[in-house]
Amino acid sequence: MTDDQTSQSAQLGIVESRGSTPGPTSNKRKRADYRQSQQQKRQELKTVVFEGNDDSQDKIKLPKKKYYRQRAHSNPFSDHLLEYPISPSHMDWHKLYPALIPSEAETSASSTDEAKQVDIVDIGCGFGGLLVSLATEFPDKLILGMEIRVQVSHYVEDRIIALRQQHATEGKYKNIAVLRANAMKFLPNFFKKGQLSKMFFCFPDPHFKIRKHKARIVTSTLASEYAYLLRPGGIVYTITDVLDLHQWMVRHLEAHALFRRLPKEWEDEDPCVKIMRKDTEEGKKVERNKGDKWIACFVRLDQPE
Amino acid sequence: MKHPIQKLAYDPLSKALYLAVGERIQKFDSVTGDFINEWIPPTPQVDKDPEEQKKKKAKTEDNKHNVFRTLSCSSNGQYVVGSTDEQKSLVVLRADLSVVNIRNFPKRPSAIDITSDSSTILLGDKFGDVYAVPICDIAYPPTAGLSRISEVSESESGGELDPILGHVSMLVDLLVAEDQRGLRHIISSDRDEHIRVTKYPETYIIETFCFGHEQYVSQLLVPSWSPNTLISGGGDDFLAHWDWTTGELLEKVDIHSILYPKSDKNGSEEQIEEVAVSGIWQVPELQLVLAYDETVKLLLVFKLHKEAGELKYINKFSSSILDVAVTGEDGKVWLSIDDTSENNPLIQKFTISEKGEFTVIDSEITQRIFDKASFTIASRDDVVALHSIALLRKHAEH
Repeated sequence: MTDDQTSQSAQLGIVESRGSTPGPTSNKRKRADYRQSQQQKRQELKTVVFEGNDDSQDKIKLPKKKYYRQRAHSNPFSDHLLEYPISPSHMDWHKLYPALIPSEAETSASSTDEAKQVDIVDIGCGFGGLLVSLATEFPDKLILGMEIRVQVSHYVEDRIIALRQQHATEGKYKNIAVLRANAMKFLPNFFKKGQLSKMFFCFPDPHFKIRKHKARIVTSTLASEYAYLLRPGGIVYTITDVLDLHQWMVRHLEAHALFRRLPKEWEDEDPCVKIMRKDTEEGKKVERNKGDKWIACFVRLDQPE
Repeated sequence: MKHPIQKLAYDPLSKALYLAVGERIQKFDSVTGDFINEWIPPTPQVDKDPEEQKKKKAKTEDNKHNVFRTLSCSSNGQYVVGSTDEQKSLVVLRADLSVVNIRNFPKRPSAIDITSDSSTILLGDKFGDVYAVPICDIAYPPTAGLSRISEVSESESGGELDPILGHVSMLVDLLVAEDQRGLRHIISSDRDEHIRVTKYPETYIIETFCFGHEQYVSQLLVPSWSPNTLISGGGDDFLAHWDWTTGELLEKVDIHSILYPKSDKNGSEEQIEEVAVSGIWQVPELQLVLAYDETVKLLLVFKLHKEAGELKYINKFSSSILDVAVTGEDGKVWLSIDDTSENNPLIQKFTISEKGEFTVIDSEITQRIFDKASFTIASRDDVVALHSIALLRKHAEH
């Protein structure tokens, strides 16, 4: 490369970094810039506890979904560069729920209190619609969304940060958080035996090909893991717009000795079923397209003696 | 040059020694060194259709890679069980090496164990699923030949089995353990860091996980003199010592410093110092635990006192080992040695002392076995990779 060319490309580089290049690349750049600034905000705000009536802080805008698009599928078997604790006791939940879970230093000072722990999990939480609705439905419970796609988990993180700040006076949304995680592989690394009371599986990836069926999030073998994490009486919620997947999930959970399907009457009464139907992004999409939604809920039975 | 012996199995009741050599299984009398029998997989029949013939030919080519990766002997001494690579089959033979069953699986089997009542084989595969395969021994009429065998195996493999438990990662080792109350459990480990303890046969109940590994877990051992203890190893710099009934990590025993002593460094360039434990065995009569690292080619000897409960390193033995068969008598073990140079016996018998020292014994018997064991190959290229545990280490994709 000649000096001339180098200086030229350097010049171009400067022009590009100003973001004034017109054409098809500008959207890409906008997205990158936006992500970068959000990343910075996230770093700053992640562990900040928002006190009520703090007017000095700018209101943070809700993130825009268009900047966080990512393809809908992820291979759960690949070795993603994921962070997860060696065991549940290695998990620092204070980072995710700074207002509700004291940091390690604080706990040791008042060690008599039983630490609050995550109670409800939304597996594959997508853009977080269900999480946000559950936050106000169960203000006393800690709720966690898990999502394997990086960008989507960032969106939910930014959404929660914005919501927490916008509702700082009422103290809302302190009880929800999101983690990027491969729930099929590493759920037991995060939660203790019998810790959870509800697990949501909303519009999971259908993995249509037979050869990919093992990648489905509900299988009889994974059901044993869910039974391990749920306390007796805990509930597994499933909803999908794919009839074949619905039948698959019902078949696999009904075949499991520790789960029993709940009747339709129960579904009609349960507030979470209503939320799941209406407030998930996928649910809304299916609503718009006037598609069918299939729901099945299962209770975790007591261990047979 | 002879094909190395990749796996050994010893039956203490009949004192028979089984060798898995490539795609074959050979049986020897370990007392006299006499060759007893050999099982060679049936060759496919030649078809008239040239298209079919072509396919068959391709299949026979595959047979070269259809080597046994596991070999076990049932505790009643009646069955020898092995699983193969390319055709992903589970081969169940009687003690006389007649076929009980050959069943093909959808994914490559990676670990097997047989329940202590010799009734069921537990098989884990590359996809993380575990199957329970009953040993249904309906003896064939004496006239049955090879055609009958292939007929049976085909009809057998048609019946689908459902997994009884599953990891979402390659299953690398599993065993059936009985706690002090006599309750049975499956302990299974995978290419992530998980060790799971599941009730058996009620495999829908997961009892606990053993958390502490940060690399793949390739080897599990529950010593017979300490039934609640689990020793595990793999890609980590340590062996883990657990109470598997509670999932409690009792101690991490550093092996990295033994495998890569500091004095060896001499300030030279940074070397990759990865641990790859490819075998853990027990010598119950001496309360010893053996662990083999395939990268450094070192067999480490530990003492596990029943009372003190501490896994204590006592000695090491340098050799390129493929497998160890423990006899259960006075610290006597058979080692399969991966040294294909001329006149080097592929199999040797040692006695291990209380202090973990190895002494060659019964070399005449060993020589008799070696004369008949294995088969001749043209070059090392005809042997598939036998030291491959280290490949399980994960390298992040994104």
